[in-house]
Amino acid sequence: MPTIVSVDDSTVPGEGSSRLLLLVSSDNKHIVVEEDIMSRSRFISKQVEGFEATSQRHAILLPFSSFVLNKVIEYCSHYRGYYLLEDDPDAAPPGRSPVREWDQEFLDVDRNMLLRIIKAAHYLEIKSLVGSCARAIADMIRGKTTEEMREILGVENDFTPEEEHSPSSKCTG
Amino acid sequence: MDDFVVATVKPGLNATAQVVAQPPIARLPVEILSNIFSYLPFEDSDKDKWYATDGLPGWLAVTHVCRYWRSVAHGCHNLWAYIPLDNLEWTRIALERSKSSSIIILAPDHFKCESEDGSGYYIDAEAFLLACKSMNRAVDFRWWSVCLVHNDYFRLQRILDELLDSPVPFRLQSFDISVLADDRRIIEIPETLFGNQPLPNLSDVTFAGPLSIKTSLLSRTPSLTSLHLSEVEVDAWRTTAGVVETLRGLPLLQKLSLEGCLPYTDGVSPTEVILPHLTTLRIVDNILAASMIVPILFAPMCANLCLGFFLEADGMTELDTHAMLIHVLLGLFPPALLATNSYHTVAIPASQNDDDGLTRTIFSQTPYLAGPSKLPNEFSLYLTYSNDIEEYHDGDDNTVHHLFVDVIRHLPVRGVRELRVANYIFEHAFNWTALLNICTYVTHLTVSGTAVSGALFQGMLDPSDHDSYTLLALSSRVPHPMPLTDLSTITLERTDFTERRGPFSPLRDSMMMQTIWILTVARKNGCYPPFRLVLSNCIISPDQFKKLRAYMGDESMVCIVDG
Repeated sequence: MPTIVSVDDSTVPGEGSSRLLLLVSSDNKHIVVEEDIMSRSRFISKQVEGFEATSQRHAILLPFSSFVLNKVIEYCSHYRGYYLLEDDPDAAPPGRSPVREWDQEFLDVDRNMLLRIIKAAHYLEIKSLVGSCARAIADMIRGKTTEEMREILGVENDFTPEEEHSPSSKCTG
Repeated sequence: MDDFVVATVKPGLNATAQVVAQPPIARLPVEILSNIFSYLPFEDSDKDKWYATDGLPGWLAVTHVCRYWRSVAHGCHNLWAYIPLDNLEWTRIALERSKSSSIIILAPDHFKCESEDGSGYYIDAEAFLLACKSMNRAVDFRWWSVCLVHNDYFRLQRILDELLDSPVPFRLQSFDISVLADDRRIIEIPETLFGNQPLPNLSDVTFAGPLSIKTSLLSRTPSLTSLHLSEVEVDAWRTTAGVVETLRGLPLLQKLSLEGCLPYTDGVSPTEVILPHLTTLRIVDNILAASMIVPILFAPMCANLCLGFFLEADGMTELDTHAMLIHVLLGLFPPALLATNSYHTVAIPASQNDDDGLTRTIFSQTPYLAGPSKLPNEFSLYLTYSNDIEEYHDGDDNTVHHLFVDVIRHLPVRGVRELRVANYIFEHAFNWTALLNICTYVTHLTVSGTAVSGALFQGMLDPSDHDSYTLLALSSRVPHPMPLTDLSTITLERTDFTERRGPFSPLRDSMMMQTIWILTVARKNGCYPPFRLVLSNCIISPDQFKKLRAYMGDESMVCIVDG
């Protein structure tokens, strides 16, 4: 779990009307970001709400690197002010929406980075980003054999030879 | 930054260690893995990847990767929501594991199973019948390119009969049946499809193939927003009133696509139909549609002009194309996006080969057109994503008509104040000039990603002789009144000046170049008021830029550089 640390209410004025948040990555990089930008993250929103009454500024320690965190911030910055159905907690779960073009380019990263982003997005509860990453990963493995899926995503085959070759397993999974 | 002071850090947090020890995907949280799996099944754009190369359906293959994946996959109901119909065992598994969640029944057209006589595809009838028992859970039914051979007609009928027996109200939102048949024998979709139940959720319907449908079937789908009919006979469409009646029953329609569906005309003037939500009208390979459907729909929709209205006409005769263009360009849809991907050159019947007569005929067939008086005084005209209209020949193959010119010269578009031409290829330079001549009072001309080829003045005079060139151009080619006298701004966007076919190519046959050149010279001669030239996202060589600046003068040229 990350630690949210309270800091004194010092005198850092937020730019414009948006307050500033301090996000601390696992590699101890301090990233200041406007609260508005990160409001797409339900996790961050909930944490900030929890401290509203205290009139203190907050630093939020996150369990992923600054490189990943910056990617997430880039995503949130791009969609700042945009309404995305997936991120609306009151909306019904969306069906299969078309892939957003910008997301496709944004997620054109290597496999490891993609996995880190989806985990970060899941942690921060940014459903739209989780969905886009999940779709990208699904695209990587769709149409591949089981062996290819293992290779692509580094998964170990833990079936026993008997389990793997049993006729019933082969047919029905 | 310094103002954020980290006061305390709770013990036990070792975030760095957590990142270093990134778990492999096998240990991704269940929620994430389920989310990934839910995207695995069939997607329209990815038909070929439906089956993994080892022959297992994609959704079944993930259960063979490792134990963790298998356990997650078994609990991921969405993964099993797509019910295949070519293998009874897989159908059974998918139905079982999807539990009570909504399902999608589909028989995609790439199934590899061959029918008994080796021709065409077929679905496993038993699997289909099994799936039909869960039709009450179906939200989407897709049955594409089912090739029917010989006795398969009876199979289809049996399957349709099965559908009728479901006692539970349908949840269907999308129904799509596409049939191919060798001998084009028409299959009648029974009026009682879905057991005469109203279909309150059905929003998207496709019927394609040699099918005959009863209008009453559509009348039970008042929530329909998208209707696509391809090579389908609609029983009531043998009369004008039938067409009107059908469309009236679909007030929420947003997309209407007709491919080769011939509404008959009985000589009765169509009554207006108001489809206030219609944003897309697609008419393909349909000879009579333009004179039948278009007048019915267009006039009443004038009151509901929609910026995003999309009209596609393809594979029709020039007559239809002509009629549709007139309707659109007349200003009934001033901001309409006219998307005409290709035109086929078809000889106009001899009786209609006189272009004036042809136009008069079309006007007489469109009673809603009241002529220029109905048009607003000022509006914008957009030509987007289109190719130039091919020339066509009359019945004797003697005269070449330029359809574009034929159309626009009849248009009362002289009130156009803003003309934007985007992604448009003018194959005939004359058409470009004709367009400008028509749009006499344009104040803002924007050309984006548009090319003009051909040579209007080529060989007629020496382009370096400005005075004679301009004089001749203005006197012989520009009709009265002179066009573009109110022009204040020309904007060139996304134009590669270094390309040969670019609208401002350095070659002599560049029409945009000539247009600007003529106007510039004319302006210097006092014929035209000064105008601004705006370049946005253009590629231009230093020499071209210098030349252009010399023409325009520094003060009237604005460059917007972006990217």
